Amino acid sequence: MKALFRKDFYVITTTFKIIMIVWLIFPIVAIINPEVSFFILYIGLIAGTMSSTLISYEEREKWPLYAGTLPISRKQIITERYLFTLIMILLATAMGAVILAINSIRGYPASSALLVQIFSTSLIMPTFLLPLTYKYGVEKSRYIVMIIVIGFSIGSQEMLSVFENEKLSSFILPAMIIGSLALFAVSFLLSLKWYSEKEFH
Amino acid sequence: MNNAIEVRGLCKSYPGFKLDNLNITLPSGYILGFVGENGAGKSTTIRLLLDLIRRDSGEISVLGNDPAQADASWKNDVGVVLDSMGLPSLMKADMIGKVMADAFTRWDNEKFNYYLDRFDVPRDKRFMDMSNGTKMKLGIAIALSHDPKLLILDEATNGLDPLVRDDVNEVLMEFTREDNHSIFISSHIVSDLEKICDYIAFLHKGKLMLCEEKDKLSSEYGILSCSADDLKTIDPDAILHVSKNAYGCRAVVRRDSIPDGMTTDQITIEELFILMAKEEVQ
Repeated sequence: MKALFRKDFYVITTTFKIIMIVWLIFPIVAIINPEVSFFILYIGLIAGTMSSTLISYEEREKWPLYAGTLPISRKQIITERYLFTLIMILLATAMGAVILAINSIRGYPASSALLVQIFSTSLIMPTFLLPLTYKYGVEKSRYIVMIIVIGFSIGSQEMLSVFENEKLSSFILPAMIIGSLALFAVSFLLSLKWYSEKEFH
Repeated sequence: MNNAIEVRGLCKSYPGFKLDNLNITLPSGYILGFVGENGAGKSTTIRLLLDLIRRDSGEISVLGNDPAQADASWKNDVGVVLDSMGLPSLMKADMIGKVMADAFTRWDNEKFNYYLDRFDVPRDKRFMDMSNGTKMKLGIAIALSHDPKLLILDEATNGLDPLVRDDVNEVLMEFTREDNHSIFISSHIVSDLEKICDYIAFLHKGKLMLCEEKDKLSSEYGILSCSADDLKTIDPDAILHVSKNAYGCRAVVRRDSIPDGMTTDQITIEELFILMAKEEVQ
């Protein structure tokens, strides 16, 4: 699995240069604009979509076919991709925590709800995207993704209003973390099943 | 383990194509050339050997492992070069070497560098900027650098110029000089296979026409040019293949089974391939 982590690291540092720059610029923008939570959330969104962007590159380069010739099982391939996704999202959440800490020192209110939101909402995209991409390929799953993005945008607004209610927030925040992780685990099992059945031509 | 590869009754169907009851044996220590026209099923067979696609029926054993059942670690013993090398386009040879070092338990970086130099693969070029030939050379360097016991090569030498092809053929011959090292190679360039292979298998429209020792093919079989009436006098079991034209017949026959007085011409593997791949009229 180390080979896959190394390969993904090389790909994101060589292929995703612009995405990486955006990923590093947004924290600065978020510090400059402490009242706009979108910038912090966007850091998480980029992290969440990175794995499906990787898959689209891999499909185009016929990497899955080549990876199938290596002494790496299909289970290891899926496990690495999910771990990679989780690491990227945790990194984005940690980045969000640092930004909130800096802003709180500057006198702006820090909200733990926002951190939970970064983590959970960033996890939603790959939770749906990864199994769909493994099942239907990048092209077909793109349309399904568009529907998810629209739903996600509406849902995100609803969530923000719930967080403003402190009583609800104390129950919903842990539920969101547990729920999103549970969905992510189901997504992993689906991806594993569909990738194991896949044929590489 | 006496056989590097054993395939028995292998079947795989797609719409418009069927790999039908394939039986192939590659004894350990030998090179088997897998010949067939485009779409004959060569790549399908190789993908089945590597469990990249699922078989409909039949049995496969590669180095004693059933690819569909065994743990992926058996692939440490197999060096593979496919017709398209699916490596990340922006990675350079050194980066790819590091990834492979993590993937293979017996990766030999010194050997990898030796083959990069020998095949003249640039280290500072990204994979996407390499020519098709260079990509293939990099693939061959990877396949040879983790101490494999078996090489599976799918059209691996087709994009190479004659000089490099000759060098690669030499490397392949060197590889089989070591104990129990075997090669399964598919190619359109039959003349190359003729040089290096011990066994030849012909696949035509998903069916195995023959799988024989190369030396037997040239000593046991010949080309008989005769009329259609003369052909009828020959034992049908002695005729492997017939192609007819306006002037008569050209048949691939077993030399020892034709009547006295009829003479055959020496057959090359290439001629055999072309004749057998042409539409059968018997």
